[in-house]
Amino acid sequence: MLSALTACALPQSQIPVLDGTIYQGTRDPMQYRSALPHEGRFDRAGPREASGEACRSILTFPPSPPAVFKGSDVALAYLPWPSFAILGGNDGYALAMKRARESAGGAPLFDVRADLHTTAWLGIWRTECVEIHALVGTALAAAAR
Amino acid sequence: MHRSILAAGALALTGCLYTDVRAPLSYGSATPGDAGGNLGREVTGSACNTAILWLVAFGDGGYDAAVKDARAESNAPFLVDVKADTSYKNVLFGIYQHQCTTITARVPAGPASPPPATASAAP
Repeated sequence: MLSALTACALPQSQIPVLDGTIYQGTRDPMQYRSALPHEGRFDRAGPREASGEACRSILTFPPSPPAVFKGSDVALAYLPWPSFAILGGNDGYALAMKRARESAGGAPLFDVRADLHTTAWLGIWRTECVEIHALVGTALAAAAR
Repeated sequence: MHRSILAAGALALTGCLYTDVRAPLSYGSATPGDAGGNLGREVTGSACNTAILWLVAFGDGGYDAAVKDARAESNAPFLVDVKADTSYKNVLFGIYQHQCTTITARVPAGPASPPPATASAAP
């Protein structure tokens, strides 16, 4: 009975909360449906490329290395101590795309590739950046003028 | 004792000392309709991350590098009908790990590739 009540007391949330998280204030990528080439126009001979990135930083102690390879997340579960973490930053699509679009002078972007760039030192300090690379185009409405 | 071994093993996770890798997140690739239904030859490209002795992990295994590798074969401005796979080589519990993102796609074929509604290129 007591355990059932305890389970009810926990927030039924979809938000992932890491064990040992002291503070988290992040905005993370979830979903982005980018424009397709037929939704705009661009120089097919050699379209320009634009790029932008948005990052979050994570401080963990005791060390907790990033689980970037197959199976490493399983091994992480065997850490016999809680790893306290402070997370902050905005690595969402909105900011990364805004910066990429600004680098292209506000033009629409097509063929958008998004990668997650993880850099970590000693399992203590980590930055995770969403990197956007895309082709620069011209919106159909603007091109028709 | 057993616990200490586990702890040491866990601490020596891939990339414990230094990590600098790129992993694929998402790719809004073009569809065959963007090529006006005219699909040319198939091209492939790949990009990889490597980890050695659980200590260092490095590489650029993201979509951008894989797509650029595939596009280099054809000089096509974009790829259509894109398939993305990931492959692993894992030796002796991770002493050596190699993970690759492989793109298999078709290039838009011929001058009729732009869809009719947007056939002209931007100035």
